[in-house]
Amino acid sequence: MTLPTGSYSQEELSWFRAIFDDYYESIRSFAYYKTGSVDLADDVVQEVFLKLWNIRSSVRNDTVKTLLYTIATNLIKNHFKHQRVVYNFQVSKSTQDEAESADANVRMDDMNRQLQDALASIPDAAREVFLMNRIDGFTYSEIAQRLNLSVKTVEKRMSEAIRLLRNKFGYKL
Amino acid sequence: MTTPKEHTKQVSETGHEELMDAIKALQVPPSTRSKEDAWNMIMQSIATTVQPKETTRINSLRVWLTTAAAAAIVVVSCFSYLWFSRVSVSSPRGVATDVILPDGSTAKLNADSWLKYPKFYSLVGRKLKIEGEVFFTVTPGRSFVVSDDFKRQVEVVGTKFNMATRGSTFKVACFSGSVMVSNPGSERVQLGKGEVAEAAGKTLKVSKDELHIADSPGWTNGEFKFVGVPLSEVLTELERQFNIKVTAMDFNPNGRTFTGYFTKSSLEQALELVAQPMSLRYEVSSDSTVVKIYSNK
Repeated sequence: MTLPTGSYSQEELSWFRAIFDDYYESIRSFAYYKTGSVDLADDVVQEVFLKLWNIRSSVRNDTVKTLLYTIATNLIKNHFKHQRVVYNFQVSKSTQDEAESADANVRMDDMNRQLQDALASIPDAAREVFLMNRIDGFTYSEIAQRLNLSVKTVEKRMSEAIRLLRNKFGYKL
Repeated sequence: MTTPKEHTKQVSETGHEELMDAIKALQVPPSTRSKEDAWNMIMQSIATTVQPKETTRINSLRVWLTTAAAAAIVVVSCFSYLWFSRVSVSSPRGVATDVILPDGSTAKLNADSWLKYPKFYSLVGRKLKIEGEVFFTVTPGRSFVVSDDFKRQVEVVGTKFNMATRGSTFKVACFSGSVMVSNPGSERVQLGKGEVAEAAGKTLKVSKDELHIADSPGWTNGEFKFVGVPLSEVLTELERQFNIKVTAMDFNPNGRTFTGYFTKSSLEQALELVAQPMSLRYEVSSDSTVVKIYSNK
């Protein structure tokens, strides 16, 4: 492993590593929800942690979570403004029943396509909250904390996402 | 056969399940790099962007420069304080003031005159500035320089001299020892005891002045002596010494010369001493602040 040189303490480095371990995936996912691009998400998560390192002396542990999301949001806002977002979510293989017919598989693929298009069409704010809840499994209050929002706002966005998706499919979610 | 409604419902139920499955199956596509790779890339970026040695040098240089700048500011301000601090003494109209300088030299300021000298006199040097008329008794020591706003100056080591500088008037009289008098644009002139230098245009005119044979100028004892000076100068001196306004009502005081003296003991007596030999008549206002002078009896 490459060790950075320069003026920092061992504690700083292990603190940084712990933050990285805790938040790397969720920040990367978040960047993906916002950009719909694996490459961009990888770049953003990289930049987010670099930025965190550079401002480490002024970072407080109780706000670092929110800070990471804020940095990510700002980076994306600045660099990828008005970019058309197209999703290509991976579908986990475990849910695919091997015994299922080829027909069922085809219909499932079709459903996935429709779902991803539907997700792309709902507002960013509603989508990222919905995906953080459904994919990352964050509770509303966890999302609220991370995005520096009130729980009420998260609820509102969540129900907006559900309403829009329901309108698209006609199903209860 | 199912009714269309039943059909829709059936599809809808199947579809709902599928949609829920699809949502559950949603995953963020994996990164092209592993988490450990991502970490190493971050460490790499930190290592390459920081360039620690360079930074340390810059930092220590910056600290050094900051310290040096701070020290320089302190030194400059201390120096400025020591160098530029001035004591200013002024004597208002109608009053003469005695000043004892830090080196024991004395300066007697005539009415309507001021004197400035460095607060840290012995450190900065005996450099003084005056306007008006001052009689100096200089304690022997290092060079003692008195200048005015027009850079005319008198330099001595230890002596007694009187220096009068009011506008174009510049007159230096030496009462003991010797002084060097200079006026920009003319040669330096050395005066011995009893000699007087007077500015005439750009040159300095030196003369023996019997009035200054005494060991101090008359004004320091309240006596004001004049030899062939325009009457206007005498009237101005009266104004200065008694803090009054003197106006010549029906003649030009520049056009008449006066030889004689007045004393500061009383205004009435002084006016009499000036008016009587010139055959002038004068009127003093009730509050003794305005004097009108007439030539016709």
